[in-house]
Amino acid sequence: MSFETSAHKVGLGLRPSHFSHLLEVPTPGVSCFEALSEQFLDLKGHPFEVLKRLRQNHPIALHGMSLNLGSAQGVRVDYLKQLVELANQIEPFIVSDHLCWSGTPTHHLHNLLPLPYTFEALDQVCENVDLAQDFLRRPLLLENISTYLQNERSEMSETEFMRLLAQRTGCSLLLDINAVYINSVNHDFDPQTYLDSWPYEHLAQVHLAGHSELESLLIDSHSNPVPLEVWSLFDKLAPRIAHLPIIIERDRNLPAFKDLEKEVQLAIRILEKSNETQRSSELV
Amino acid sequence: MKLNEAQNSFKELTLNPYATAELGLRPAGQLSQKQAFDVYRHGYVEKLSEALEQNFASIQWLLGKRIFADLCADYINQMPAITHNLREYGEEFPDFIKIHPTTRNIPFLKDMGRFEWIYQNIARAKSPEPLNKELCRDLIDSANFKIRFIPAMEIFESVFAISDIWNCHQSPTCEFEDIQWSRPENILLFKKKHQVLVHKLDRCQAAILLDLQEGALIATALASHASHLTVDDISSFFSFLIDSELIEDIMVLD
Repeated sequence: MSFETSAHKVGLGLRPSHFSHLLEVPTPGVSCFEALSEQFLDLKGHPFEVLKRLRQNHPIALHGMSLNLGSAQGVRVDYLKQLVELANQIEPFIVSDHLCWSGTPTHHLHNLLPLPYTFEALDQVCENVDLAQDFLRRPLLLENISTYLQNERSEMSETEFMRLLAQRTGCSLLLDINAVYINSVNHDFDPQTYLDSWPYEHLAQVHLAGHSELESLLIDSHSNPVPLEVWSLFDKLAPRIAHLPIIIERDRNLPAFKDLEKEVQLAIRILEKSNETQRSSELV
Repeated sequence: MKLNEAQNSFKELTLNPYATAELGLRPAGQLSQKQAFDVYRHGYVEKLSEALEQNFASIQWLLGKRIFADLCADYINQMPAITHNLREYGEEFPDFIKIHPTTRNIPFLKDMGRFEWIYQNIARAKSPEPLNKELCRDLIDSANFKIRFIPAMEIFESVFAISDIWNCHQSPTCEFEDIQWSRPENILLFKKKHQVLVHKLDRCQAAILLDLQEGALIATALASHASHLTVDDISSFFSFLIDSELIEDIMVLD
């Protein structure tokens, strides 16, 4: 397989089962990698050594699951300190996590859990994001999540919540198109209407992924290739996001690396055929 | 309801399928609220089970997937995850299987679990920075000295043939029935560059290494075993320590 280098920044989630391949085979078609922060926070062992080696030739983004920015009991400072140390060593071009909560001081629930979009929750998330950004000395990116429950107490839409959050804290946003599609099916709304309301002026990165089906429910498992419906939404968005880094995520049923490279090439082709007429932001 | 209260109730509903609370939540699609929480509960159990499978792969092989999964479910029910770090999850699993009704009559299972936990910790340890081999060889000619070993190393003792069972799991042709498991073992686990190595020690070698690890002078560590060791035995043992890159420093005493 041969690749042409592209002006578009399309990369892949970095997974340990591909480490040996990545250390042996050049990957010119993949412009960057996104590492899961939690896998490297202890700064030791083979995974961290591989990450440092890859960093010599590739831009790396750090993407977390456990910053717990929506927690009513605040961010875990011990986690934050580890993340700062990791960021200092890797010098990532992006540090991101999710707009969600994931546990209490006594229990980590290992899920991305939904927030009510209330002004009380907004104040809490802003306080947590401010603290995290003060530690990190850089803006965070926050990503929308897929949900299986929605809060009837919400006082605003998700996109309005994200817009206010970005305005108040200076954080940027990460758009997960797969999560939008999953939520649109599970909660029965039009994904294009949702995407039309997205605060693109704060958008700094995009995620693509696949999901699985459990009876009539879509599960955000990252266990399949990016499906046609998600490619279709991406295609429509391409003119607005062509200048942003795009990362394709895959966590389960991991195929050979060359199969993921094909998805990267497809994303690049979509971006190349779109005319960048609607650049959404100057963030990247 | 305040955000704090709502999140505490959400946590209870996620962890306990019998808990009830009215949180003003609308489930996805045709799901009931309980079914929606089942999705989150399933995700939680799945992630912790995967952590246990990774940390205790030989236990899973010995018990079979179904029994292991049931055991994991019971453990997860009793031992909630506290931190984000799934590598830390399962430290008490060997003690748990020692007393669990399904596994308590399998005599070597707890030791197998302890062995696997140590193995995983060494695998995740920082790569060692051993002392140069030539320098080691020069320094051990000194009259008396202490040795500091690399941190990624542990001596494991069991009254069962744990490494034989573990090796059997790694080999596709091995049959468990062929193993004489009721046989004591002393095992050295250590990291050499990126790889974890497992090496059997005899009782004398294990005792000397333990003494040296605790800071004994070489003369003291060898004295108690002098009657069992020839000069060649000692020389060969030290060559092994040096070639295995186990020595981080040698402190020569005047």
